[in-house]
Amino acid sequence: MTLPRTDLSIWPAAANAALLGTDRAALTLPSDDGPLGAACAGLARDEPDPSAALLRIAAAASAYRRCGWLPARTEEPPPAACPPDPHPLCPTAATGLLRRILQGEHESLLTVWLALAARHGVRAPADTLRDLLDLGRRDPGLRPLILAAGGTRATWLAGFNEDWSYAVGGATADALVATLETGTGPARLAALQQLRRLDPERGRAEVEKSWAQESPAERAGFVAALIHGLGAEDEPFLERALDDRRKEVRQQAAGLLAKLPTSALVTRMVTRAIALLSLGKSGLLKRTRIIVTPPAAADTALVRDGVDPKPPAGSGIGERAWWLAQIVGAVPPSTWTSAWSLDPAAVLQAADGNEWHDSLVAGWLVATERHRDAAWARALWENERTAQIAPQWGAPSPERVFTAVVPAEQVDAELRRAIDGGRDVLQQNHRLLAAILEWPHEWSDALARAIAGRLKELADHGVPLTAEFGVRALLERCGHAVPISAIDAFSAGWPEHSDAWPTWAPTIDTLASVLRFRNELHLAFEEPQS
Amino acid sequence: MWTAETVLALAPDPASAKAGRELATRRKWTVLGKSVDAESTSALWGACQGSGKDPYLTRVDMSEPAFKCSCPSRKFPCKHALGLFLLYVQSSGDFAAGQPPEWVAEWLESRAARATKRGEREARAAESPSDDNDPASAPQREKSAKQAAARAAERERRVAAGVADLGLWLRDLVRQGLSAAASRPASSWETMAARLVDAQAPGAARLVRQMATIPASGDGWPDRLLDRLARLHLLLEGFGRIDALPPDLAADVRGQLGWTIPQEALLELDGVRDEWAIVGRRVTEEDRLRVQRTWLWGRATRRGALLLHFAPVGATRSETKPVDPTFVPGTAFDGTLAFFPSTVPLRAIVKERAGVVPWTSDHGYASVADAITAVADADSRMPWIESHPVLLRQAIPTTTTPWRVRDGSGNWLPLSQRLRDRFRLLAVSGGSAVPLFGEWDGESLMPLTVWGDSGAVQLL
Repeated sequence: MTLPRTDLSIWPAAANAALLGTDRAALTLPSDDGPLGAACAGLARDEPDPSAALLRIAAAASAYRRCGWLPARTEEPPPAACPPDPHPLCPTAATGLLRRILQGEHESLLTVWLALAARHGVRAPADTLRDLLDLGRRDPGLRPLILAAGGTRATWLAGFNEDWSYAVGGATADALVATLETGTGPARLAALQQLRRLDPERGRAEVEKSWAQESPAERAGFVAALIHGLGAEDEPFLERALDDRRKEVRQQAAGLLAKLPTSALVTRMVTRAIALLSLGKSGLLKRTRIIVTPPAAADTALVRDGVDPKPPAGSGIGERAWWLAQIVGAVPPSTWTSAWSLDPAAVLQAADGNEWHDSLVAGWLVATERHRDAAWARALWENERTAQIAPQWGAPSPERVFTAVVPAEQVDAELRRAIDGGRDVLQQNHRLLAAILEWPHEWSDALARAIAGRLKELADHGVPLTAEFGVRALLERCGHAVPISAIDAFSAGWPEHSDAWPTWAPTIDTLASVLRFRNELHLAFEEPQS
Repeated sequence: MWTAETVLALAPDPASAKAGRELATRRKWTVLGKSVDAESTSALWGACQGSGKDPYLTRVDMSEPAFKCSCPSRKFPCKHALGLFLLYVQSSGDFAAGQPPEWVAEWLESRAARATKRGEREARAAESPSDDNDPASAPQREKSAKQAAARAAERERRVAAGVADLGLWLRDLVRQGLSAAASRPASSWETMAARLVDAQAPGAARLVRQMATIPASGDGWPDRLLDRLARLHLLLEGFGRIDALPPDLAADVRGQLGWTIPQEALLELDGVRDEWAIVGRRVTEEDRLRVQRTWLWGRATRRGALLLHFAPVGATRSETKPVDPTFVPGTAFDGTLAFFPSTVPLRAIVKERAGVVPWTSDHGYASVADAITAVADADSRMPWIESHPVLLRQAIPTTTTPWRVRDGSGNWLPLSQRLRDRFRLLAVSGGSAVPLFGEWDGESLMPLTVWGDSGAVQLL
């Protein structure tokens, strides 16, 4: 069918006349007559007012246009659809909870949702992927979990939006290498971190490949990223990095080498350290004591091995004490226990009263964390004088070393024993509170119940929560650390008659709601697949 | 069938949702009860100690749902009702099953009585449309009928005057040219619109207000503006000859100008019974009102229907929150709709909702061409349709500029620029053909709902 040309030209003619105004440009209808043309000619004849006639004709032409409108058509086949995902969709209840989290309810539990999805091998519903990919863009730490839960659909979707380039290709080593080669700043660093977790060897090879072209800031970041999957094979590269022009790069490399017990740097440090410390007996009681000969100078070789020659400004720490702490910090703490045939507690005791005491303990804290020595971690935690080490030393706290190094079930048992120690333990044992807050693990049922008992006692004794910052931090930590089995201990049985209860109630309500939500999350994933 | 998610969707604003969540805890309630009917639990009640001396008494009827609370809040449902309802879906075991106490029973009875009365009225209306056999009230009825007739005549006169003014104004605009109109201040459109509101033609006022933004709407604005002007002018001409028009078309003209039809009159019309799926819901702000457009699709009748719900704009301005949250996209009900008389009946009210039915998403148009044929048919009969319901069984969103949905044959419709959730749409489709519902305005498609493997997803 061919349309009369006149009819097609009526609308543009009317629009043109209307734009200029009928006072200036009268509407002249094209003279051929198709059916619309004939109808419009009739309309114009019946209406003497040119503006009214134009509006009538436009109304007719508008209907003609709208009713005859046909969609555009492409001959191209649709683009390739997303490949199917081998993982089943998460249960319906889990979908509902994820949507609530993404709308801002208990946002901190997103990682719990994602971890549960990973554990159950299920994927997130497609309608949440845009929000998840946006979150991953802002928080690289979430990316592995988001990519796992998003499955093939997330990877496919990411291909349409540059903001989500980190997710293109998913988390395969090839995709990560591609990001390293073509990406920018933070995206490259995140890709390297992930690649090191997947394939450390390849990650280092990639760093070495582009090393000469990297800016100093990027070199420092890349060396630091090698902490993931760090191994003896990284030593030659790190040893070379000790001669880098940039101080941050040298220090990062030395820090990593100090974690490798077989590295040449550690051997050099052990040689230095052994020369500085020896064991002897002194005083009336002939107690075993450590005799310290602090380093005389920070020579080039020492500085090359990562020793910072200048103590932190304003710290009040002397140069020699500062060097000593760093040398001791680079040496596996077992060096001393085996050299002197003493257990760690005895070594600590032998340092008691020494004028270099703090320097030694700061070094041991660093070394124990670096070499993950559980016996030393326990001894440092149990020794009361280690708590006095000033923050200027930059050493990790004994609580942190203890919770990070000692196996989880032992930490749990130890914390439980300490909690059982006395009624006001939460208020008075700051070290215990600090350790509980530091420890990133989920608590055992028994530990959670013990903590609940102490918290309820505090409230019952009329202690207002308002000023108890430590206890408030503990209550916040409860939301994530209380195991599902112990939720009942936190959601009921609070002393609501207590005078102090009004100061507790809002926080306890919030905690109960977080715990309930977490419980819902767990139940939701247990639901049988539909 | 209620979950925490669907209950929270009832909240009038985010603050209420948050407050409701905080109240969804056992400790906040001194009384918690649920009714035990033969079939299921339908009523909940609770007493919540607020800041006042007496506890607030909160009631929820889950079948509709309906809410009542003795608190002074103007939010509806209030935080207590939300909290009570949430607590129930989270731990129904905290509720003691039993006979409703008096303060609950009274409310349930009054609701039942109202429903019965409505049913009786409808039944009576069906039996004898003019119920004249009550002699006592006859004179009074005659008097009020006279008053009503006088009011109606007065309105006819005022609308006619307003329409005459608008006609002059439109022709004047075309005489001076659209380019001159584009440089007029916004207030000139607003003055005309206000004049039409005074003339009791709010529908025409709305059409004038909508036109005010067209000159700033980018390429092709003169075509869009002329199209609107011409259709509005056609409406005025139709009003001038309204007595000569077929009744349905006359109803369209009156409806466009702003006459409404009383609910009772609509309920007396024959209804259309079908299984109605809720295929789309959208809330917009218009003239200090929040307007909820709920689109339904009939399984057997294969037609769209539009429900409008209005609420004043609240202080919180959560513009996308539903006005009537009981219409949940992706669900369906067996029921009867009463359509407003029209050549192309679209707008309707619900006469009866008999019950929830399952819905499969294999309904709607098989192709873009089918949809556009139906649109053209409707446009040819009724020139003032602003948006057409388009339910596509198999739509493939693609990211070619402009973003579009296409079908297997390659015919495509451009997506509206207003669609904020285009990546969500793309994600749900995965590049495959998915069921999709949208509003077609003649230029672009505004998708409201897409169905994926986790059900219906609303788009904004």
